[in-house]
Amino acid sequence: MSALIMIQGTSASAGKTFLSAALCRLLAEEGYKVAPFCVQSGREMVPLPGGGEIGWSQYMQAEAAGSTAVSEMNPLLLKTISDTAYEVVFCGKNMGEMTLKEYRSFLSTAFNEICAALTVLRQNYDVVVVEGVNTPVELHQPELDLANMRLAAEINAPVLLVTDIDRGGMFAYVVGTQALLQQHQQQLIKGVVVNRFRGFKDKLQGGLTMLEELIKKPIIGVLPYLNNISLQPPLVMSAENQKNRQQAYVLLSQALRENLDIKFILELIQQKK
Amino acid sequence: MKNAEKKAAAIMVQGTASNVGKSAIATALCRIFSRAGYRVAPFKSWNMALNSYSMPDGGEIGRAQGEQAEAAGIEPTVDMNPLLLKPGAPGQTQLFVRGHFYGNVGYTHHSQEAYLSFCLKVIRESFAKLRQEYEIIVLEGAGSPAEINLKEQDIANMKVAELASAPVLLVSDLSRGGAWAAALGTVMLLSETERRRVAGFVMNKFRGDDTFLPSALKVLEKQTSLPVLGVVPYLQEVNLAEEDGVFDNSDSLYGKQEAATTEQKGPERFDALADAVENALDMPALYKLLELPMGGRL
Repeated sequence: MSALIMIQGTSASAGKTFLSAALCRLLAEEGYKVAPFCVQSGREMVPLPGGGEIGWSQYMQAEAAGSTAVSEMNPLLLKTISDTAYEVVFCGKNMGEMTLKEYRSFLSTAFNEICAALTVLRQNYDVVVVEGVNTPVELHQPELDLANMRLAAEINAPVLLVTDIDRGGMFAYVVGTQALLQQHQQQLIKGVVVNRFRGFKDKLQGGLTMLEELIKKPIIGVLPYLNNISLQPPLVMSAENQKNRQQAYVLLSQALRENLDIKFILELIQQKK
Repeated sequence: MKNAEKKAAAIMVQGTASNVGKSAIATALCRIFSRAGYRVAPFKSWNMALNSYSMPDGGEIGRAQGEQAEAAGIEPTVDMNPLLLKPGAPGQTQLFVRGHFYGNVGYTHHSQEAYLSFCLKVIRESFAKLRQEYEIIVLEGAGSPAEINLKEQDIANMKVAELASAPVLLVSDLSRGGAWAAALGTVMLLSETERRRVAGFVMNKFRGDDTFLPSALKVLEKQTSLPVLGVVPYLQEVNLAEEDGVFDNSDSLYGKQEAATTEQKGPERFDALADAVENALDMPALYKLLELPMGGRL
């Protein structure tokens, strides 16, 4: 069975997809055979060569890892119909339209199959980089728990929490996220990655030290605001934009090496092997 | 002698982050209280913004305060945003004091005692002036009050609540995730004195399914011993601009504000926003915080 690492966030758009893609690339450079995984995708879908579809994020992360995208990387595809209704595709099967209520009861039966998809990946790769959905503490959306801490606890994955400093309130988001988790869930969080920092690092350092003391977890690094790197889905898939993405993956991995404690992350993965 | 002075009541809107909807909530409160017959003025001590609201006499204040004055049905004055910073060269900002350019400020200034006490003096004077002229002041904070690395130099949030003796509504944004964590975390990072200033939470930009909303509210209320004073729905068409979004590249910055202003003129153009917020908030609790009758002066 492969090693695991999971990325969860303190808000939506904190940088989970971005950090997961960067880790996929970096671990591939380290010689691992890497697969991305995320329980669900609600964004743009990409058709797979063997039929079926995959969410853009995992497609792109597989590309970053130099691996071929397969449907197991994304067992649950949600096409939003409204705020409270989805069209659901589960492990390649179209389940039709569901209200949120129907979706919640469907999810309660789907966990084993989701884990089975992950197991297929774990048997075929050295490391699986698992991305969470939104945050692990959306109290009014309990259906998201399955894609975050329920899964992390089931597979005992070390979790890195990524947080967006650019919009302000970062310390509160981190402290509050940890405080809303149960103790066994808190223990799965191994460290925090601060994302989208711009400004003067010397002004931040004192705050980071205070934060480490408050949450009793290390800050693994501070990633700068990389607005020159875009991993948004292209309007049309072409060789040209794929080439551009390959350059972006190189820059991403480089940014991790320059700003994160990579040794710490590699040790997390090796412990898990 | 103090009791003989006529002094406005004050209430302050702070947020768990930038762009959580502080300005929109403050704008709505200005309109709500004004409709109830009170003389209301907005106040934001310190603003960092690229764009500003130009007044007839040439002075500049934050856009949101200009707009809030409109919502309150009054003429904006420079005292409503006495300190305005505009980004210039990297690490440099232009400081505007009461609407007019005062000088360039380097980033090291922000932590200097002389600079901070100068700023606090300006804030205190402008606020005192408004307080003599109005019945309610709706204050707006900037960013988050829980930036633990910048707490000493934060002259936009809790220090201002303190000098204004204003109860604080803490706004958290449900639309971007992490709102419960941010609300709880912010309160956890405040000092005991600051925490006592927080009157409750406003959970903003809610949409979707509300089945589990009551239980979520209960968790937050239990963990903080503070009430949630309202859940405000996501209001696409009246999503006004935040002023402190200098670095924000998101679509919500000024586009939607333009959309909100439409053709309508006058304070009535804020009525849809005010109605939605008034329906969502526990207004009796807010009037109780202000120590004013809910029926107003009409």
